[in-house]
Amino acid sequence: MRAELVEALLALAVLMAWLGVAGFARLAWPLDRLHCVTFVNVTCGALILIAAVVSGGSADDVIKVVVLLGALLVGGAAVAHATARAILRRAPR
Amino acid sequence: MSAWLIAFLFCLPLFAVAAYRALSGRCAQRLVATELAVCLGTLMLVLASFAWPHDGLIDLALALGLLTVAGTLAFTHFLERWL
Repeated sequence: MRAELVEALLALAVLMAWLGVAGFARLAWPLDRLHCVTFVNVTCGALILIAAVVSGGSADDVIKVVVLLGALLVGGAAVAHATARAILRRAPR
Repeated sequence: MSAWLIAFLFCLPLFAVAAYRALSGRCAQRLVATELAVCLGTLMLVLASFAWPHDGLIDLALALGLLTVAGTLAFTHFLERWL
């Protein structure tokens, strides 16, 4: 049961990654593409974290994944806003 | 073949698309594509660390995730002000 749940979570994470990259390839304006980056960051990160917890990996690995996801969420938001600000200064629409 | 390895392999084409976009196009689009490539690369390193149990891979993902934030913030600052 646990293995099937991990497989389903990983399949969902890969599906979200494909969806995000498809949106990235489809959208033209860089600010629109930033949303796709954040979408991949949040959805895949959260799903992989849940899969790591469910799979029963070692506590060290799970803690490192939690720290990594926290850095991705907090840092990703800061980076996205800084990037958008730089893009708007450099090449306004 | 474990589910972690299959997920890793399915993410490889996505990383290739992001890397290709990061190498071509205008400056702003390349920056955003680089962010996507780094995001996918970090997540792929996590998947690889569970596919091949090895201490170094998860540490590599952690280092990449933490250093990317500072590096990208510094690069956007330079891009905004001087480049």
